Amino acid sequence: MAASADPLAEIRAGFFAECEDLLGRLDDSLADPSIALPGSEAIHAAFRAVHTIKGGAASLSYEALAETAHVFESELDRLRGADEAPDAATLGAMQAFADELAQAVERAKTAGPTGDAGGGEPDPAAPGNWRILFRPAAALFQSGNEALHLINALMDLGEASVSCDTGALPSLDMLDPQEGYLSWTVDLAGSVDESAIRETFEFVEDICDLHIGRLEEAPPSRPEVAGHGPDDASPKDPEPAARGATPERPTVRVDLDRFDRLLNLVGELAIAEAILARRLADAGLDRRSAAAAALEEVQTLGRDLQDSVLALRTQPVKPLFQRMARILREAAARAGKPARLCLEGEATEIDRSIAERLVEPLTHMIRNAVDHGLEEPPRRAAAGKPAEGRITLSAAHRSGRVIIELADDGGGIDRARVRATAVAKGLITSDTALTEAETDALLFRPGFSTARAVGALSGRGVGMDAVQTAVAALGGRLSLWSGPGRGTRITLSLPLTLAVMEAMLVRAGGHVFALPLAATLEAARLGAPDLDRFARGERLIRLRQRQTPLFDAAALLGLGRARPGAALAVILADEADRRLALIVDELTGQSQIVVKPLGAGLGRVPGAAAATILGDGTVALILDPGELIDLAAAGDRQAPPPERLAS
Amino acid sequence: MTGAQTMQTAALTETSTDYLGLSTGGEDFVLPLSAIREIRSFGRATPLPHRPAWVLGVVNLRGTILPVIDLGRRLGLAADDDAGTLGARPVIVVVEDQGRPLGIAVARVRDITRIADRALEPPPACAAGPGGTFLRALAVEAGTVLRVLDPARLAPGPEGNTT
Repeated sequence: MAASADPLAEIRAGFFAECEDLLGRLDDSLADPSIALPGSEAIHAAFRAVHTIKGGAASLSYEALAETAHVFESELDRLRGADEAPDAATLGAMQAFADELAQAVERAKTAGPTGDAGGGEPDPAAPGNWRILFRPAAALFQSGNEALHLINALMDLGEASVSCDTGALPSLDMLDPQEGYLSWTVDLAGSVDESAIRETFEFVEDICDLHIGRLEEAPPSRPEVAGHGPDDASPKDPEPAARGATPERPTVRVDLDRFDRLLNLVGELAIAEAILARRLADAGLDRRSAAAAALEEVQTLGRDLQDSVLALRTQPVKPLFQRMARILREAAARAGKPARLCLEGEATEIDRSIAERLVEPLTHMIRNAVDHGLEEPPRRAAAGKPAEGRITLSAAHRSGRVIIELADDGGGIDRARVRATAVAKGLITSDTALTEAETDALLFRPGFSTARAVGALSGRGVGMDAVQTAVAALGGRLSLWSGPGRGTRITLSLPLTLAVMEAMLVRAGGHVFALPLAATLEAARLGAPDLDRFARGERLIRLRQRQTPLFDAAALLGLGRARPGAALAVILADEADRRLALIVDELTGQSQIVVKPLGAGLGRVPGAAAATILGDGTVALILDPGELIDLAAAGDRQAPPPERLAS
Repeated sequence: MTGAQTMQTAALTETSTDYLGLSTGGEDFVLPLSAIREIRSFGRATPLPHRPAWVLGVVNLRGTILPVIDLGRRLGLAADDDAGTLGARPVIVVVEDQGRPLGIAVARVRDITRIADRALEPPPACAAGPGGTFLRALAVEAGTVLRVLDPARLAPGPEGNTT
């Protein structure tokens, strides 16, 4: 069995990946409003999903999972056979079953197979399961043969279950020691050739009753298996897929590392193309020549290739959100606070690896919302709120970023309590003056927790600081809003993808920087009066009917300063529409760039989240507007001496 | 390596390790060869905002972004505003620590030396600054003392501003 460990591990991984899909489909079906109608297709779809999980679990010896799925499946089977539509209570029970199944999948994933002793994973679909009836005649014993040896030999062939029929055994006084009274039934599983069985009995064939029959049914103790059951007698048989209203498109699973290598190569190709185009231009290639047209063709194809590869990398947030719905039900049940999760923007596409790395922070956030956000039911009633807490999880694309928001309609942050806790923990002194925002920021300090009772869910101390760290590691930002009595809203702003972006390339202080195009509003030429005010140290300039902070891009980054006489400003906005104007030397063009992470060993680099490689092979930093605005605000507070730009 | 038993074992299984010699700021050091991935010539790095002067910036290493530090400034052999220690033809020694590559810019690399493992001694306590020491060990070889650098300690810390 050791030899088969590797291929099985792969099969198991595939099974769990499939479970993830099937659980999503199950949630879809149970959430489908039409499920409350008699004869709904949704119930059949749910049944198919559970049935498939059960089959896979049984064939991989995840007995506990198979059992959970079996119980659920039976319930669904009863429902789909019923004449009337399920009522709300039944649907609630189905939802609970679905959550339990999801947990059973998780448990099976961590615990490994729990198959019965022997650990064999028979493939029941393969031919070669046998039932052998063996009744030795007296002559068998008289000729010196031993039934035990024969049965042992059978057990060596495969996984055997042996039962002995003692029904023919007479009372002791009637027993003839020379006679054979016993018969055995041996069920043999696994791929065994009939000839091997026959060989075992070769020398005793005519001194015993031997019947070898193909075993069509799986042993009764074993849960039944998908795709098995040749006749229509079993009501558990899945509906043929053709009857399903939702055709399942075939998919391929690819290891993320392999995929990233492909993406990297596509990025390299784009850079190589840019270099080639430049070299050809330098060599004086006529732009109307056939060679130039061919080059353009290659570039178009390269762009298409990149788009296609990138599309593979994104997925809707829906599976992530569905997973969160399960977390919420679990958290609400344990905290004894009824709560409902409303999902918005589930179709929003997000980078696959970002989605994966959002599971933990979102889980924390949801548990926090239930534990600390929602009030106890009596307090909700007193405040005139419905008993059921409402938590909204939404996703949207904004300014070239993905915005994920989690809002609850709870009591909001109790800032007096936050403050008291912070004082008690020595984070601040009792006379520290804090704004509301600064008070809220205390929640993100490591080890901070205001839960009076240690919640079973949120635990103590692990919480918002971990969320903050995880989001920052993704190149994201987190902001928080809270209204007393009205609830709390946490907004995550994440990069659309970790892979490519449209960027405006600018030169400042002699260096080239990339600015995300989605955050670049426009470029403006500064007039002499504005430059004068800037030279006098004013940092707020009226641009496009709005007071906008104006900074020298290179100076802001601590990398030199703008060319004397530079009068060009790029106006940036972050996703919260905070603005910043940056003085740059020149705009050098607009281009699709491949986003490369800055080396992990560098720590956080203020102002830049990533880098890209330009057509000439050099590295340019990708500036993060939100971070630049923070930098500008921090720099402004320190009130630098007036700079003399117009020298 | 004090007991006779240990000495004997060491003698029986005499092991040694290869080291690459390098010079910067007029000083010589060695790095364990096993930590070195490649050596490249160093042109220009893209500077990073608000980093200490010893972080030279990042360069393109076949499509990945490689952070580069100036060893001389890192070790305090050269002042922050002195870029001269790297000389006319600096090279980058690319090391890898826990999967994180780091480029170490030096004036030049020298030859490869083999040092017996038992010739290594822990660095003296006085070699440690406030942030610990950059030395992994000292080795006495042919009458001179070789300083073995610890690549893991040269990288910027998680906040990027370890001194």
